Amino acid sequence: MKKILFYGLIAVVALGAVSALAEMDNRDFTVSTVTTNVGTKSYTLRGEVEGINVVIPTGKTCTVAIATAQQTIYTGTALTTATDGYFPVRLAIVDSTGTAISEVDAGSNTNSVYAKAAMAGTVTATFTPAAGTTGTNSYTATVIYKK
Amino acid sequence: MDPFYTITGPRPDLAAMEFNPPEGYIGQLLMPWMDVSDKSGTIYYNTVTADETAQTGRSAGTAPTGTQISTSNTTYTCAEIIDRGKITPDEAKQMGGIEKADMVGAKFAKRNVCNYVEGAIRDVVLDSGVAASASFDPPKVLTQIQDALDSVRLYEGKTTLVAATKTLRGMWQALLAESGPSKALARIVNGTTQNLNFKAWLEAMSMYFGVDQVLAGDDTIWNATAVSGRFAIGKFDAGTDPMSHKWRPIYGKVWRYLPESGTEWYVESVADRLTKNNMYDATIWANVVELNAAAKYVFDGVA
Repeated sequence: MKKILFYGLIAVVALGAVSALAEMDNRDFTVSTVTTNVGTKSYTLRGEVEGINVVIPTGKTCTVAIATAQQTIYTGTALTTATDGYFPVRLAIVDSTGTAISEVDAGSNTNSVYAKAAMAGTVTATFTPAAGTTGTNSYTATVIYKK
Repeated sequence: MDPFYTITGPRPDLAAMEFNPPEGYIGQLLMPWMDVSDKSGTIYYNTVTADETAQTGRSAGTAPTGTQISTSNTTYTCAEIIDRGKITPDEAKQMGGIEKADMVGAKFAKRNVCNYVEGAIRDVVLDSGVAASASFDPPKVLTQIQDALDSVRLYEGKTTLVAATKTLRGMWQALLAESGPSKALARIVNGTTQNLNFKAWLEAMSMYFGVDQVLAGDDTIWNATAVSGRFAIGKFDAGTDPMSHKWRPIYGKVWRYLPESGTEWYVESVADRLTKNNMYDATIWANVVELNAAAKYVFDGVA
């Protein structure tokens, strides 16, 4: 009985520890497509987007779009190995009437105000290879987010 | 007997040789064999007739309103599924003699045929190439599972959650990261199974989701790229009654043509002295037939 309770306590602690530490997470959206075929991948995610890391194979060009259930949060047009990479995405925020919020700095310049994108539902990554793409290619977009 | 070369011709001994499908094969638990003596034909099978509101207030002498119930039909054509293993004479000696090499060669060929059938079952059960019905959402998975169970409730068989082993682990990982499900799962594991091996987790998952069984498939087949991250909830026939499809709305079976009664396999060996090789061919003739596609509900989106 004591041994069972002991192992049970470990299991509860272990499972509880997993929940408490699971703040930042990442999800890989990887597709393998033939020539110019469009590839999509979807997962259900909830949290705030910290950034998106895109990997394009050497010698290929691809447009990558990431859309949450609410809106498109990132579009990378004609990305190559030279222009792919990590993008700390932020979106312009709006007020309760849908009007963009802006602030005026010390130089009287009007600037949009940005915040992290929220995800609450199906997130879809769409990979559109450029015209003339040959072979079978694997494209990846990693969404890094905080739960 | 020639110590280097096998005998040429049919090998009923190798066909009857004890052979267990590789560990992790679950296809026959989902779509059992249906042995037939004709290579092709028509299948008459039962399907679901939608429920209707019972009649009240019938006038005396008037016939009750009736709904016609009948079987559906489709066709099957058993196609050859064959594989060949080859063993050179020197390798046959290394294996302990030609008789041992015969068994090695036949087992290899049989296993690859089994792989093919398992893959064919996987393609229909997980709807390869077809959009899934829903995307796995860990914090809302219980209502998702209930939607799936509701959609298959009129079909008959064991309520089953089926997925690749890696996909099941991915589901566990996602559920344990959610504050609500992780507490419930911890109580199920601690309070009932009291150990932490993988089989215990599957039993806990069966209890948590409210299904009769959870089947974990071999990853090399059930987690193939085309179906990666997918799992299915469905009603699958246990296969105890070979004629069950005629009177019960079940998911489907694998029609298998038996050229000789009682022999599931056709195995032959060939001693090829031109290429200096021993060859072993294992053959079955089969057709995976999905009868009631709506008896399953497919999810995708498990990372």
